Amino acid sequence: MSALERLLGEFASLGAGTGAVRQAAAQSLRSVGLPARNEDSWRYANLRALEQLPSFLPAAATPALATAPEALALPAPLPGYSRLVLVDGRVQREHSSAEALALAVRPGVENLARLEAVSDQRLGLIATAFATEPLTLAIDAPLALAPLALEIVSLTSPSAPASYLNLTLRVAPGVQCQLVERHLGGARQPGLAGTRIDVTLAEGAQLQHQRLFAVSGATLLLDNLQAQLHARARYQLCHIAVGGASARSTAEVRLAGAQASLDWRALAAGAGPQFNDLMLTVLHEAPATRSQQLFRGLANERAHVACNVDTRVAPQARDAVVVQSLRGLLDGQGAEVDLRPQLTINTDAVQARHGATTGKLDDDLLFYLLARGLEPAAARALLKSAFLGEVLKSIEPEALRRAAQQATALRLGDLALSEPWQ
Amino acid sequence: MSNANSELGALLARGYQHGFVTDIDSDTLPPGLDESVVRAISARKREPQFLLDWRLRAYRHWLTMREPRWARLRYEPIDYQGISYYSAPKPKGDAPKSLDEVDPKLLETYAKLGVPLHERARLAGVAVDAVFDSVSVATTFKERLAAAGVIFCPFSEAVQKHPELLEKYLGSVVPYTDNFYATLNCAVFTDGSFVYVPRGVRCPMELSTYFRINAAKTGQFERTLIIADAGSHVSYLEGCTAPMRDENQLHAAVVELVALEDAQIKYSTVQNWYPGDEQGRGGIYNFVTKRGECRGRNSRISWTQVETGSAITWKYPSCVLRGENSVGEFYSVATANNYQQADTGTKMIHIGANTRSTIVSKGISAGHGQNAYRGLVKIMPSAHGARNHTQCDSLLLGAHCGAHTYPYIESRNAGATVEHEASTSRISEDQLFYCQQRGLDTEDAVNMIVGGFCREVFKELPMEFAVEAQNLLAVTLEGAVG
Amino acid sequence: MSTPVLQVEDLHVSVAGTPVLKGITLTVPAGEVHAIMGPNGSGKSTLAHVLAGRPGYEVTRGSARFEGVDLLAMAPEARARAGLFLGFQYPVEIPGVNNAYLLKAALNARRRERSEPEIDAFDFLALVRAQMRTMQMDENLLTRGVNEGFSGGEKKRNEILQMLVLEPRLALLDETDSGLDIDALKIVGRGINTLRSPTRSVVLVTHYQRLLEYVVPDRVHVLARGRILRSGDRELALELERRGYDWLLEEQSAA
Repeated sequence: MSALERLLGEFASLGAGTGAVRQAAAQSLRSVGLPARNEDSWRYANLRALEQLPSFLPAAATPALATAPEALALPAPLPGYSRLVLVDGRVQREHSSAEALALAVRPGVENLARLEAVSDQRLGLIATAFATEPLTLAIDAPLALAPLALEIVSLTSPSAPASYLNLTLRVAPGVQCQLVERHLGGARQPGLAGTRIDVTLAEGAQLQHQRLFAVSGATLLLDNLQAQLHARARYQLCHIAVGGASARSTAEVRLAGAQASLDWRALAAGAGPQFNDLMLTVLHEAPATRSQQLFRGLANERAHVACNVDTRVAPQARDAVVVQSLRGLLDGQGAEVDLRPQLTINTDAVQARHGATTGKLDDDLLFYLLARGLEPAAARALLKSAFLGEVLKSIEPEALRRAAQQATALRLGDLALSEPWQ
Repeated sequence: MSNANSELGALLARGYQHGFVTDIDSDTLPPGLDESVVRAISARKREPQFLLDWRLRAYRHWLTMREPRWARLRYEPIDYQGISYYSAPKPKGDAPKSLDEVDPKLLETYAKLGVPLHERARLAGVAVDAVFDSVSVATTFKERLAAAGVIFCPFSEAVQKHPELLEKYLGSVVPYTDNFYATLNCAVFTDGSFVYVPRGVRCPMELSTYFRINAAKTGQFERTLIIADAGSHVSYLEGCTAPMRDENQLHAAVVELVALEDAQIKYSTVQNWYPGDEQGRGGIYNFVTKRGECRGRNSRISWTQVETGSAITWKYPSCVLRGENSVGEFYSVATANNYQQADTGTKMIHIGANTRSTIVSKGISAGHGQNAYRGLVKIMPSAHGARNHTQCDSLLLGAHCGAHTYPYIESRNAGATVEHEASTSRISEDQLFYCQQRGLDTEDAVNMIVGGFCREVFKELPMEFAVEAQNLLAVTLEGAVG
Repeated sequence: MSTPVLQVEDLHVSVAGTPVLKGITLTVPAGEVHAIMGPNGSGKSTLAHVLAGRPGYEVTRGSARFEGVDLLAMAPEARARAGLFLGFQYPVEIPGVNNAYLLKAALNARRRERSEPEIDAFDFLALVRAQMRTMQMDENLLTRGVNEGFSGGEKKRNEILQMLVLEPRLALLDETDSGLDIDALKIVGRGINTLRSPTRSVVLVTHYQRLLEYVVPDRVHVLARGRILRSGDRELALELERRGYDWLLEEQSAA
């Protein structure tokens, strides 16, 4: 039985209680199917891990044992942040702060029009179909809001190895807000952590969105994010991908209003046989839109790290600015780094430049450090930290930056824990 | 800017200068393709059995293939049964043995195209193997080449005289299963050029072929094979122009290069086939497979191309860098004006240790032209110390054109380095005004700026080609500034 | 007589199979400053790099001892910690690793070697600031990436700053004077003189003698074609300044 057949069968087994939206998502999946390797956007994804998933079912309820904070291994709350804790896709009221709960009370209201079935976002349909508690955060307050941290813990069990997040986030005109998303937990047995996030920034809204994927174990991460930016909206999106046995993140940001801007920074690190594959599509659809794309990828041992950035500038997006820098570092026999800095440009009034490099640690830099007395291992770790630091250093607050760095160091096993750029 | 725009719009309207038809009786197969056509072509060429068998394998494989759609190209489906797969000028009496015996009309055609064959050949020391449709009709300087031991002849002649070389090398770089168009070529190719440079020989002159497409509704399926034996050098020039036609014409050539140890091959192309009119009607569909293999240590293959013509260009001259320390280079200028579409680039496959590759791609888009660079740099696990540098620049002339960059960088060796840089720019009003203030008219200013943009590539071309390329570019882009 | 800081005997070195050094013998006693001069391509930088342990050089014959210990058997970082400092002719830029961070890591590596405790942040800053004043360096260079965006002169001063903080027993300064204007040259000279003491030695590798006006050497050696052609005192450097290197090369060819 193919993964799709299994998936649809399991969805059917959930019965009629799933509601119209989830059923429509499953129906869409049936008609478009799962991505295949010969699709250009999925060239580097580990689709075999998807094919081999034992089950797509999420837990029917959070296990009682797991409500204890120690079982959740929840990190300390980020200072100044209110927080919302989800375990296996369900909000944990007792661990969440009151402000956060007040924000997230609305049940998820789906906009089916956004489930563009044929797009590269279609794995988001899995999360839409299976997420038991879809969430909507509507941030309407005209004043700046307390920053919010989502702690998303995947515990799962062999019988229900999947957990899902289906989040719709709407930021009202002129509102500035900060959102942290931490994906934690993970199980030894193969499982799935699926997300679908739909962000809309109204005119002049600003969102600083920092995402840390630090799920451990044999989990497959399938992340899907769509964002739509109206005029003058600003979106800072930071993506730290160090988790999962295999991970694929697919983001699509539509700069729909004039002067909307995206600042995307991403880090992907892998060790062992890990696959870490990121895809970002940026659609410049209005005049004077800007996007900056910065990627740093590190493949240790036999890891595969890939980054595919597809930036398209429409004819009407005059005076768009695109700045792109993708860099990969390999350190291991059997490591692979794949980069695709794509530009599709349909207007002449554009400033676009990109650079992409792959390589190893620079021998001259290494020797310089050795000549100053550093151990070879420490020198390598320092240079790797400096390389990844270009993304890590922009993370705030400090507690989150530390957490991101520690998660990266834990994954790689050979990273300096200090911050050499400080 | 609007003043400049209208002024230049008028200049753009200048028609294609190389459009006319030579009236010669052709020996042409009726349109359509099946096994009997493949057999008929092979029979007319008096080919040995192995070649017929190979063609038939290719044909049968082709039947299982689908036309690729991944390139960023839009065009009406091609009716492969509506094409005639063989067209040869009828010999008047015996085949010509020298230029004097060549049909004067044909020579006149070349003269109109700015290729005064014997003149230029003698003056520039170039041996020309001119292809008129599918059959070679004139070959010069054979004796001088023969003295050096270089074989340079029409492909069909090589079939008769050097079958052992063909059997060894044909399809060894581009296998008959490679891709839809290449496989079709394997089945139905009619002629082309064959070059063999023996061990240690530096080819005494630039080798050159001017291809022409002539007869209506004739697909053109050239096949070129160049073998540089150990320690040898050869520089090969390919230039193309075509008469004006309303129907789209398919062109699916295959070029294979083999460089053995310490050998060097330089392959230069200026392609100026009919691009279609300003509304995008007509023009050549150019689906070409070009690939070279650096088979031996320290070998080098260099592709230089200036692509100004064709309605559609689908072309990725590539290098398989198998030998240790081998070097692959790709220098390209591609323009797309009016409704032209170009999807071109290269593949550099690094297999051997310390292999190096350089890619310099300059794309110029004007009018409604769509120009895409598509390139793969692949570092295999065995390619320790491999290096690539890619520079990929786009120049946009006008608000309705497109410039696209689709690189694939795949590195599987931690000791290799790949660098890719790209930029997109347009000619700024400031640049134009500056030039105008210094007394240049807009057209000269654009030519100067475009020339500067392409200089890195032009300097790789043999001298007389560089001049031709610069002129072609000027004609192609006349007034294309918005 | 005490053990020399550096003792090189009949050192032969090849790079990619080509012999570059063809038998160098050199002794640098404690407290002395030696200058190694020679035309471009003579092998001066090779000697400095080989002594510091740079990969890519093959020692085909001979030995080099540092305070009596076999230098060639030591890893580059072990040589550094034992007190050998190489001032680079072309210091690399290391974006993302800031200057103070590297300096502290290097200093602590050296202190651990001597079983000293790691320096605390306050003392470290005081030490570095003092030395930065000696080198007339702007303090904001401390928080920038190592040599990142530094001018040529700033890079060279930064090398000497590192030397002053690390207090090596032997400093090999590879063309530290190249590309410096006269003011920077004086500052660098002063920095080197600060280090001079009866227990420390300096080897200046240079093409011109102008640095030697500020740092007066005890001995001058002329290295050309992979060999030391002549050794002498400061007068030899002045003679080279007047006459160039050709006469020495001709003498050697004649011999």
